Amino acid sequence: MAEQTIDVELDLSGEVCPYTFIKSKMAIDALDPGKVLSVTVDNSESAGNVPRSLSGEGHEVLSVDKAGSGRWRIVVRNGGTVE
Amino acid sequence: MLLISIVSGLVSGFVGGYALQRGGFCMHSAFRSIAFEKEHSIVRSWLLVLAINIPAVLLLEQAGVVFPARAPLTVVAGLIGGLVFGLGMVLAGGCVSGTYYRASKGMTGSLVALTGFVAGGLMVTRGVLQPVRSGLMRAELSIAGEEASLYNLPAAFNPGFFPGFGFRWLVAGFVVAAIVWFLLRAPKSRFAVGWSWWQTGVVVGLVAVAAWYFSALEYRDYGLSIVQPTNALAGWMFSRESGGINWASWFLLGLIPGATVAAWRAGDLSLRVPSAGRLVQNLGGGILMGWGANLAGGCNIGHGITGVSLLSLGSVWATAATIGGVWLMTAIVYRAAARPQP
Repeated sequence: MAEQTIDVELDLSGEVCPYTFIKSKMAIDALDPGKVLSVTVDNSESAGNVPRSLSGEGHEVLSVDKAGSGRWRIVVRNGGTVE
Repeated sequence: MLLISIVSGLVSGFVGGYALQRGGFCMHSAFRSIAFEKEHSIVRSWLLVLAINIPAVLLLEQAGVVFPARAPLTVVAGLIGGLVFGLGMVLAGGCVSGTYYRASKGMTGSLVALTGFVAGGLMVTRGVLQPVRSGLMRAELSIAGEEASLYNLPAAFNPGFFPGFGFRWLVAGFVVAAIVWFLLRAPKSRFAVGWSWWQTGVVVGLVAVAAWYFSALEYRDYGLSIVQPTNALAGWMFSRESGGINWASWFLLGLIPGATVAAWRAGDLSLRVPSAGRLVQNLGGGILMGWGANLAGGCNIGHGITGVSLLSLGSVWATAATIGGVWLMTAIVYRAAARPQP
């Protein structure tokens, strides 16, 4: 797969829920539809919860990858309708 | 007998800790998601644990193996304790079991919250807040002289009613059928980093049943709990009182290495340090959790899993108050986060 263009990077190391969800939701909602957000979290639960929650909010989760020991990278595209 | 208790407790604790970690079984997230998110996989894990335990404990009771002790319906202590516990959970970043397994994988914020939880608990159980608890616990509702539950609820209206096992199975059947109906409508499990919701629910559910069985062997009439053994171990460590040490204490001691090994195998074991401000917040949250859980007489495990599985109204009440506290603090945190940064 070609490398995805990332519009905004968000590093949430040191944060747990609910902050991981709130901050990633605010970041993706601030983007235009179709734009892509990359979120880095440093615990496995957030790596599962953040994509599940954002997907539930109607956004498209492009990938969830292990980015090193105790680190995960989640790439999400804003799922709003492109005008 | 002591050897059976120690070995079965440590082994069950290890399996339980492993499952909590791999499943990311955070009841704080579960409670929050009910109102704030459209995704409910951890709620499903919790409900599956209940659907396994409600009939299993009833069966063990009918077979004469266990004689479950229900928590009293302490109207005021349960409400205030549950609310404070729920508020604290959000600030601490996890429920009690969640705080244990996160601390076990090197998350410093949870380790700090756990320290606050122990300190807050000691203040309520043997410290300055002890009289507050005694006072608040006086308001208690019972049904026909017994602890209130869904099983003996009809006796509140008809004092001559006695809930036989036929009636209890009918009530349990309705509750379990409602849960199963909800679980069967689950969407396909997605983005599971560890175990899926149903794997987690099955393993935690079976560990909770084992807790009843092994506890009964030493005449302890309760299942899984975290608050009681936390206080017991703290009492033993700080004032050499070994009175409360029982199966649940061995379980808790097994949970920590189980959670650590699970995290290590998943590449999730490393020391993580949040900002100083967040650490202070976690400490405050932990203290509130210690106050609240000890005032309410249990946490998300003792009330939320074990007590609710007994269909005890005291546990349902405290759990509902806890969920209310989580929602209240989550709403506050959301509002604070949404405010434009200066």
